[in-house]
Amino acid sequence: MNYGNSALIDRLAAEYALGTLRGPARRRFERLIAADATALAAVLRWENDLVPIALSHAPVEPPARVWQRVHAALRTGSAAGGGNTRRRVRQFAIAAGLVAVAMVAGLLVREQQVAPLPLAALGTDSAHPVWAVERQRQYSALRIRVVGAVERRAGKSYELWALPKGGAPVSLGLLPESGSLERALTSVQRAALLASDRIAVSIEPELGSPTGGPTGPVIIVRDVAGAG
Amino acid sequence: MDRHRAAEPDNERLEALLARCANGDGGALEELYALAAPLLFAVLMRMLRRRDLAEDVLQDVFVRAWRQAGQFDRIRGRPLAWLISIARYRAIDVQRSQRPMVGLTDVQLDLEPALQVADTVPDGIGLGSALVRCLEQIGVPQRRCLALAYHDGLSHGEIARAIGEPLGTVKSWVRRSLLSLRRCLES
Repeated sequence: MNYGNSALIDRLAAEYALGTLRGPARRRFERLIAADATALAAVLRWENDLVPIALSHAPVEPPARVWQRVHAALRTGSAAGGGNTRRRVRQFAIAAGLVAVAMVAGLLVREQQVAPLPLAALGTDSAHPVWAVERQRQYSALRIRVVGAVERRAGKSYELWALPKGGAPVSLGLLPESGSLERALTSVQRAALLASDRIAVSIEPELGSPTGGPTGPVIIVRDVAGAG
Repeated sequence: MDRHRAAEPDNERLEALLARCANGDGGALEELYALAAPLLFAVLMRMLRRRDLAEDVLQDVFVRAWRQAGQFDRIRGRPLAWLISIARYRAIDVQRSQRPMVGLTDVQLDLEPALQVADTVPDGIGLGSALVRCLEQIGVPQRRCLALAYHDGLSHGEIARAIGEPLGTVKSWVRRSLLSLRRCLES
């Protein structure tokens, strides 16, 4: 008897989670979710079911200013509301302050005592490197600096790869087009890099290879320092 | 060899971090950000096509996550789905007001990667494998519609313009594909 109704709710929940339910219909359905447990359950189920599509993206490191802005918004409480917000913001400020102090201290120590080690200089022409790639000790992170002119290609990115002996290439992420970045390595990336004599650069879609392996032309292959 | 583009962050760890956020632990929010922000930023860049908007929404997602962490309940869903949904829904709202009308050429340029979506969904992780199996049972044009909707945040009308099919056809493809996905996921 309720089948028609619940089928309709599930259809709307699906289009809501997918994003195709728009305008006033979307707002109406949001009100229904807030009031109706069945509708809410249907939405949560679709949201869960569709997550793997989002996971097909190559992660993109946001610029540091985003976190700084989150931090600032919480500290001023400008975007926050609710009963115990003030306490939470205060605790957050204290915790974040301590984290910031620890980070600054950590950075200073790193800068002074543990300079990164050169890994490779990357350029299509070995006399004119475009990126300098360095690694932290224990391969915990890579630091990549743009040191030459990056040829920009519309809708394309440069992706860095470890080429482990006897294995498939493992992505080390996208290369910056300007400035520098430091990127922590996952255990998979670290292991691949430790097993690599060489690293490579390929041209990929803007958000990185969609397959997990190089899909575009490989334009640079270089030996890594200290390999073996 | 792990070939997944984005390993799913461990949901139990995310749950523990959200619980700590609900208790006002700012360090937990920072850890949550480190774990989830790069994936959410990729999702937002694709949907919004503008870095400044993606950054604004990403900021908003984590401010909301902090505020609403206490309302998150593990029985309500997995934390990653929760975060992705906050980001995607916010992006849909922002798109409406801010994103320039998506030009046909823009969408067409991006059509090829969108086409591949269903083929590149990571397939080694529990939930994912079922979805991939079920996506494979849907026709290619229908799958393309789902990809344009989920990945690019396109409305029925925008999808219709992008692939050059009538609006009614697109609506019916999307509806039937979702129905078929649900049946398949339940089987």
